[in-house]
Amino acid sequence: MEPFEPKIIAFVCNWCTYAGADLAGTSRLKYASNVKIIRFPCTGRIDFMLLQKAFANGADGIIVSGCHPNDCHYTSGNYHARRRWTIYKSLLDFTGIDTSRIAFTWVSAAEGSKWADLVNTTVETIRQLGPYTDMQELIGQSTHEPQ
Amino acid sequence: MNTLHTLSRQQLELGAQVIIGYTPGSNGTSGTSRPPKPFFAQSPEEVEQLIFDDTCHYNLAVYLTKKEVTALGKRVLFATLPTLRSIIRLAVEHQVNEGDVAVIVRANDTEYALLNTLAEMETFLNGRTPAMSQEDREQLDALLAMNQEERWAFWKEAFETCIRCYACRQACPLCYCATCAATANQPQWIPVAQHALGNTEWHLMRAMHLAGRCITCGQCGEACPMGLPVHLLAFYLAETVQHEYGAASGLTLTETTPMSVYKPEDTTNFIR
Repeated sequence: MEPFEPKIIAFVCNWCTYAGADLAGTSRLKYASNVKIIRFPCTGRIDFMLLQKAFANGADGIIVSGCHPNDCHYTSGNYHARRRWTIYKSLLDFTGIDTSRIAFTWVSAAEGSKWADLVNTTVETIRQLGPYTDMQELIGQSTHEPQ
Repeated sequence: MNTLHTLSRQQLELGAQVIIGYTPGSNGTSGTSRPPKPFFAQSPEEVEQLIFDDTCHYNLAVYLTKKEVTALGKRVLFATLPTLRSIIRLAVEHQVNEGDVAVIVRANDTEYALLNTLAEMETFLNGRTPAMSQEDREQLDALLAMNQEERWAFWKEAFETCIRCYACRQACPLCYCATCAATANQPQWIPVAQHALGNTEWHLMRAMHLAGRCITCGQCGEACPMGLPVHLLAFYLAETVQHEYGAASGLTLTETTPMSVYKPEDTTNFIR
């Protein structure tokens, strides 16, 4: 049987983490290819509903990453994002949705190796956890297919 | 003639267009009487039907932002403590302006008082913040004591039971958006059909949109025809916001919206 290859969606900001991932590439760092990167102008733009949609559409794990505090290109986007993630994570914990499948991190434009490590460790964590089926089960029990 | 009716009539004479209060509930088929229901009194005769006692607990602030009601002009509301908190919060969010609304509150068991300004309402609330009901507290604590799988099993069943009637939204004084993100269809964030996945997304979204704003009146849970404790999602986030950012909602006219502001020194322990 083929080993389980998790699908990871990474929501990253344009100015730090995306550039960091770029640096990982130009530095010829090798990291797991399970990750699909979605680039946003800023972490402040990453709505929690986007994360829900990723899970609903079959993501096994999610990475959310942006500029370190005090480094935001728009001064404060990541501070707002930090509050939102704190509240969102506690809501997911309260409803019993598995937050160990979401990696919240700060990766700067200079941290190409941190990005490569992050992807590798996340893929490994999710591989151990196995496929994420909670949201799929919800779909299976419904009479209508979600859009 | 009691002071409640006198006060209400005076307000109509002074230019209020409507007194939004309570009137006795109809009798249920089983012979049990239902709780007092909302009543809009626009004439001295209608005022006679108004009551305001311990059994009146619907949050009438929900009507303040409805355009049919704002079109009437000056409104006087019978306000319980959660209703007052809703009004303060609506004022903070610029949904209620000074002079639009006056309230009649129960100063004690027998006396009624008229509060004309937002500042008077704020002062009245000072030191009168009721705690969560014992039943809610116990249920919330029971959920918090569960492990992750048990919690998911609980909420999964609740979300599967939900019929997406949006009664929780309609009963909420702070769900006043003219177009709700749940019913907007470009883009359609949440599938409109009543199925468990969309229901889950709906309740998570509602809780997130109320984070730091919910005044914990519990009307959403009470309105639920399926008896789901959906108010606990909002209550839990209200507690989390209080704990993380020290911000309660609907207490002072100078408060902020915690999810719209930040402090550089905010701390987290989960962002690597």
